[in-house]
Amino acid sequence: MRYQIKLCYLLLIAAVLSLSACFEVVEEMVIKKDGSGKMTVTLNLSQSKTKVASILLLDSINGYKVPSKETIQQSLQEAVVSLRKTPGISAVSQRLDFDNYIASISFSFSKVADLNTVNTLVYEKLKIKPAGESSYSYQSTTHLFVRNYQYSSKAKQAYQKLKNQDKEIFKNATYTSIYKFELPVLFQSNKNTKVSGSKKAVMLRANILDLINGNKNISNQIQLVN
Amino acid sequence: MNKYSLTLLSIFLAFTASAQHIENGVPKNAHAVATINSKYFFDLISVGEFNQSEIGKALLEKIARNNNRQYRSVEDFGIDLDAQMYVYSTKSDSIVYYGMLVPLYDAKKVDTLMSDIGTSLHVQKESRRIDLEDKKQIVTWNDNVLRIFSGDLQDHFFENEEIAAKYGIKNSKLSDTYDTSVESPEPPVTDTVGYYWDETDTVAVSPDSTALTIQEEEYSDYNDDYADSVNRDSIYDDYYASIAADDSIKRVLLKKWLNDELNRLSITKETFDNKSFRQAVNKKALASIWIRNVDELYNDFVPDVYAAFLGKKTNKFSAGFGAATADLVVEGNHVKLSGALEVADDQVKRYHRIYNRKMNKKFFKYIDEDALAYMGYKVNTQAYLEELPSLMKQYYGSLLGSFKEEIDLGATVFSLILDEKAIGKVVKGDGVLVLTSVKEQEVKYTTYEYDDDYNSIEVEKMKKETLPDFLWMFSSDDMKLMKRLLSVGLSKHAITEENGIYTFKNKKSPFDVHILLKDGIVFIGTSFERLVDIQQGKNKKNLSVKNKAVLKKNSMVLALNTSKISKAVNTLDLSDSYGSKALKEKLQSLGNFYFTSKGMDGNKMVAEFSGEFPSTHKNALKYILYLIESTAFGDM
Repeated sequence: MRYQIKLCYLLLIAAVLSLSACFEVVEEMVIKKDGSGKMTVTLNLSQSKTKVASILLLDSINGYKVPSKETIQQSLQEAVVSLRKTPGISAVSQRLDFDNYIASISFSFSKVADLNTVNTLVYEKLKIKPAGESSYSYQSTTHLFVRNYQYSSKAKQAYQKLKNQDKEIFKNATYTSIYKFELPVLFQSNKNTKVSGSKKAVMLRANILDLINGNKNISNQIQLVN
Repeated sequence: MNKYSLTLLSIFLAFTASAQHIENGVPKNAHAVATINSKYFFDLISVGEFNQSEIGKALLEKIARNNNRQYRSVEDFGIDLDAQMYVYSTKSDSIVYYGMLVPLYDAKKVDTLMSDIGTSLHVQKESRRIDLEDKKQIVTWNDNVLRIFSGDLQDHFFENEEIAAKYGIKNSKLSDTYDTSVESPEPPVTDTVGYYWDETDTVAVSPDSTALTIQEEEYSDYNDDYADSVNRDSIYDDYYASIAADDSIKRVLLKKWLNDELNRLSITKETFDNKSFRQAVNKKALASIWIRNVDELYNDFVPDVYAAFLGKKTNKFSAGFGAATADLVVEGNHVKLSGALEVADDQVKRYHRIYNRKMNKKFFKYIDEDALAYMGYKVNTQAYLEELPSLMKQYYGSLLGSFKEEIDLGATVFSLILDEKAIGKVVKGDGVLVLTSVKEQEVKYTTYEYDDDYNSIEVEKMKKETLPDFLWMFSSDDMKLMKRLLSVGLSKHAITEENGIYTFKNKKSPFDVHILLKDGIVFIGTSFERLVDIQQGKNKKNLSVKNKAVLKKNSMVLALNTSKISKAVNTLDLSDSYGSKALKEKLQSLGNFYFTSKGMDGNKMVAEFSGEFPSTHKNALKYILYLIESTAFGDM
């Protein structure tokens, strides 16, 4: 009987898994005049929820182990604990929505440079070497915010090594970054970025594949009105 | 691939069925015998067609290049292409032998082919022999038959201290070398012997390998080497020298036992006349395999696997399985792979009870002939639940001997708790799951929109997704429980009801699931409209007589409408990473594939896979060859 139920599952899952997937990453930051602020990073898999729900029924897919919901919850909780211990980081919170498959993590920082510590911590936790150089800086005297990202072809090489089915995951994936300021923006250097009507926010939207291939850069120098 | 492998591969590929009764060369104690009917193979694909095929040409070219000789046909190898080839295995407590018997029509051609290998040829009377490479394989042939012979020593045999000492094997462990205080006695030898084999259980016909002695001079050099190494500083050197010495002794033993067994076979000229094999052999099969006893096969590895978990060897495994057979048959455009497994007499009745259930014929009018796939099953739930404790005892009681009482207790509690008869009424045990189609459906997803100040606003949007449309139905003689469950669902607002059709909405599920109870059948499906049609008696489908018969006579059926599945997959927006367009088009021309099991047939459990291939080729084998060639040799 159990064997029959498993076969039923397989038949249904096989039908669902042929669907392509996509996801979006949203990075939102609010930076105050003194350089303190708040950051929220969201991973939204809602557009692929049919596929994600099916994958979570499996033990592994394409040779990768599928984590259980409990493992995912635990990992996010561990990230929260680590962030709370990070100097300059406070008010850490997380949100995990298994109905729509959206995960987000928010925290406040005392100065923009604290984000670089967070970056290092994330790479350490994930046990990966960053494919490019990434940093944030803000000079409270000149009110210059710099998002620096040095593209490295390692990202592209790593992507090329993926199986074709795994590459599909990135095909329609998007990245959005929003930086909001108390002061209006005087000018900003990235031509792919849009400035809001109030001049107090900038937004960059890109296809993740463009970032992997180095077709778009997320580096920016944003000069605020003094 | 080296010369030897290529030559052997060519021999392997080329063979054919036998008028020479070379099963006489199969030892009578063989525990597994595979046959390849090459006459049948070359009836389906002529020798000429095979030679002209890309695979045939590549094979001939490779052999010709390696042997520096011209081969125009597989007939040039000297093999009798009208005969049957056998692959067999025999075993004792110390060694497993493997043999392959290939009938010959022109031994001189084989002489030439084998002499090109370059290894020295030993000729004794009419028999020729070549010892291959590291002496782990021996090839012998006379004017009628070629035998490829090899063997594997059973590692656990040499773990016994008495036996190891008899052959001068040290069985050194690195941990022993580390701990100089290891002078405590090893566990008693009798225990080890008792765990590893039981004289009454070993294959009696095989020579008792422990009775064989090895000439001291054959390995004294290695022992000398080993003795020298004891004085070396490095414990690693000692350890590896000891392992090397053991391996050398084993190599000598292997060679000796292979030779002894070959001599024994040539003297005794045993005939393989096993009744079970004779009854099982299917003369129409392109290839078949026969295993003397599946429990015996399990016992070769299961106790070791369990020892890893439980820390000690267990009792003998006894699931009550006997001989097993599998046959590959090609009939016109159909390929069939049939398997049968003998069940012990005391189990036969149990399995017959479990599989004693008829399929509800009312299901048939709800199954569309054009459905992508369906799975039917029929077991007797009541009998299954009643027999389950006994079957569990049979499987696990023998294996986990020390937990026998706990297993007995568990089985009794299981029987006490469940009301098998009542459950058997609620779920009779027959049902069909139909994957009707894949259809586009609007599904909600969450994303973000941004206002003028780039504040994100979470919004719900709709997108089209292709989702499976399925219908599951099963028989029930007592719907009271189902009705009660549904009314609880209604009162808790987990489900809704409209004209007798219940809808279960789950936020996490991309589709709603609808339930209908009618005519002693529980219908569960994704299409509300279809359930309305069923309720109003409008849903009359056109399942063919053939498919009705398949569902009626089998206890388990998985039917795949390959061409419809392929067409459905092509309608999805998938990239080329999911297979080339040409391959997808080829798959569309395939017919139905069935995995079926009748459950019990007499005292055997039986199962079958059958596939229907396009009639564009004369038979299924030709189509498969074409499919392999067009994929591997690149017209895609």
